[in-house]
Amino acid sequence: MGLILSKAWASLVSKRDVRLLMVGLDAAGKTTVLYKLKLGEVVTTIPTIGFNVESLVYKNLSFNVWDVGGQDKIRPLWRHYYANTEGVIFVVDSSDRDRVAESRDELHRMLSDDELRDATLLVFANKRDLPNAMNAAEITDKLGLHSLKQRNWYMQSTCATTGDGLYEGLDWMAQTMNNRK
Amino acid sequence: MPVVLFDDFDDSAPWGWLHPLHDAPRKPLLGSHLTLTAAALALPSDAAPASPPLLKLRRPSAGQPAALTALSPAHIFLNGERIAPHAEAALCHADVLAVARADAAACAFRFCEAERELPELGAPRAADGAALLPPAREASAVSAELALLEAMQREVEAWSAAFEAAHARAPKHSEKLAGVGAYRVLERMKRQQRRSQGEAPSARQTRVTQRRSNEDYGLAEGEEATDGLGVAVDTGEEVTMPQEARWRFNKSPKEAVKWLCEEGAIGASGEDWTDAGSTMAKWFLQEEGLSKAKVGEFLGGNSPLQVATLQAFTRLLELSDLHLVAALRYYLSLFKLPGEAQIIDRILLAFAAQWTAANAASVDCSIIDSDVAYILSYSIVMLNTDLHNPQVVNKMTLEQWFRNNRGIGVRGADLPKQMLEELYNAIAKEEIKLEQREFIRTTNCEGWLVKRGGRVQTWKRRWVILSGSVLYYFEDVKNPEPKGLVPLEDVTVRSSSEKPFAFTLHHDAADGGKLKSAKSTKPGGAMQAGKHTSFVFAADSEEDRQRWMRAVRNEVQGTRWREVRGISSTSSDV
Repeated sequence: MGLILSKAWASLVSKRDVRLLMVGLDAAGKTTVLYKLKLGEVVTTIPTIGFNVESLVYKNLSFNVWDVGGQDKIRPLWRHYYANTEGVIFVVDSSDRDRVAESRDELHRMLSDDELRDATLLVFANKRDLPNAMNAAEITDKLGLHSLKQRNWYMQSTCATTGDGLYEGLDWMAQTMNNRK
Repeated sequence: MPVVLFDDFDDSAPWGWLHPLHDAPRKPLLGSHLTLTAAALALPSDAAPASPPLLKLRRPSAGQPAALTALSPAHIFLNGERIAPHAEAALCHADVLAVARADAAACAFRFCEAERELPELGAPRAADGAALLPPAREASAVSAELALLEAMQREVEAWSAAFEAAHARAPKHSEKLAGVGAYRVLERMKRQQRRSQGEAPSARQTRVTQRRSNEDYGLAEGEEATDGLGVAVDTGEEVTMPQEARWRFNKSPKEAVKWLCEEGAIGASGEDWTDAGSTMAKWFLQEEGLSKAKVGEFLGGNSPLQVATLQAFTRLLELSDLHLVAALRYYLSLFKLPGEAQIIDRILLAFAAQWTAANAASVDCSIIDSDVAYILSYSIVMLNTDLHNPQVVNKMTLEQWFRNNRGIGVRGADLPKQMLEELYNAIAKEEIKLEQREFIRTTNCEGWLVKRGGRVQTWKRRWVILSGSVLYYFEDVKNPEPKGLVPLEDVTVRSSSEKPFAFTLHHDAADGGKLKSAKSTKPGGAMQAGKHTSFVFAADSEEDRQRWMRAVRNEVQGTRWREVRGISSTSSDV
């Protein structure tokens, strides 16, 4: 009985630190996603020169989200951050048909990194509210998600400006993380 | 026709007299600190060359600023205020003399150390120049400012001498900008000076030496702004943009560009945006008061114009003989780097190409080529984020830094360990950040005021910044730490007759009471609670006083806001 109680207590109060990376082409809406998730919290004071980083607490997980990306040449530099990464949030602009192939390449290139072989993948198909937006099935196909073997992935269509879909996605992520520990 | 006003000084006499002269510039007066450039006193072409003297000028000497005495009963105005005949008025850098005659406009003093620095004399300005005149100054203020200027001048000279010793040539304008902070300040003052003299086209004449509030520039609260350093002047003409351009740009770069294209200020020739990009780039480097965040946002974009602008912007910078970190610090002080990885990538790629080209002679390209410089810059920005962003909990250690930079050298080689260690230490010790006083983000109002001392009631000149409901005062513009501060809680501001253009801060309550305040007790940090029941400041002019009082009132927040405004707007008529 005591054991059960203490376990229950621990699961209520313990915050697990999870490092997530957020990736996506520019203008996909990563920044909006990042700041929408932070809504309601005090915005940090003087912004540090450098990459967008946000930490947020959701459910019993404490996320540390980095905005990463860039050309192939700088990819090795992310090793340090890949190393402890448990999940990747990939943001794609569902209305941008011209660059969806570029997005797919970016995604697969990153996932091929050995350090990320166990990382969970959450795809935000953003800007779903725009008239020309591709639907979930189309994006799954265009991003080649079905070809991912042994990868735990989930796709959620979102509209970051209103916040629609973001928490559904995070819920899935939190649940997956909790199941893993 | 511009005519230069000059004197009959001989070097030994402490006094001289100024006459309007008819003919072309003669040898100008070189005081020990001041040169009268008298830019634009226009006389009819048939005026007699030897009219009676208008004013008497005293040279600056130890501790004493230059001064003038008006000899003519009605004619002489200093910074827009008439000087009573035969009264003495102190003069300093940027003061504007006006001679009120139908055919006369304004002339100005300029801080100057040598004859060759004299600016080109511009065309005379219209007599409506009165609106552009900076406020009058106190004599004591003038000598304080001179001392500050001298100190900065010496700092620049010392730096230049050191540079010359190291490189066997004089530093270029842009190298001084990158290398020595005081030079930035001096250059900025000179530019403001030139503009207030009416050298720039009329669209720019709204700019006054007096600082304007963020609002006038269309900046949001707390935004950092560019300081118009004129880096681009090195390589070309000054760019003229329509007057509204800055305001529009600060509101929305995208809309502003659309508007500039419609106005014909920039445009593509066919599909080629190179010229437009170069115009934008020069503008970013010359214009004062553009939002650094918006400039960064623009430079990071991937439209053809934005790409062209980034290229041109980066190429205008002189990065030679700067260590990679020093160059990066300088580069990133010119605009706010956006936080998106791909934008950082684009911007640093441009930076690295320019840095490598500029340092081709001194850097061993078998160790660092342009690719390596780019990867390394990216890595440095990453390190800066890691070590200094409070959101990052587990900081990268030196060992991890070594490991992460493994094999990023030319053809997969490792970079020298010592070099990496130096880079790590440089960033750990000093964060890359925008130039600012650390704790002050918003500037609602700033400028020189004189402040009455608390215990010893002397008047001291202070650089005052109003920010986030706190009034800070500094010994000078460059000081990083305030001499004291007053949180504007329960404060009423009133005008006062203790001194011309004075105003006081009192406790809100009817019977007064102690104000919240703190002052620094020793350099380096310690602050102690103040015992003031009131603070007295004095501005330079009625306009300036109103500006300050308005700003203070706006800052006094909370439920009493309206009430306070009601009280003080009646009492300000005292």
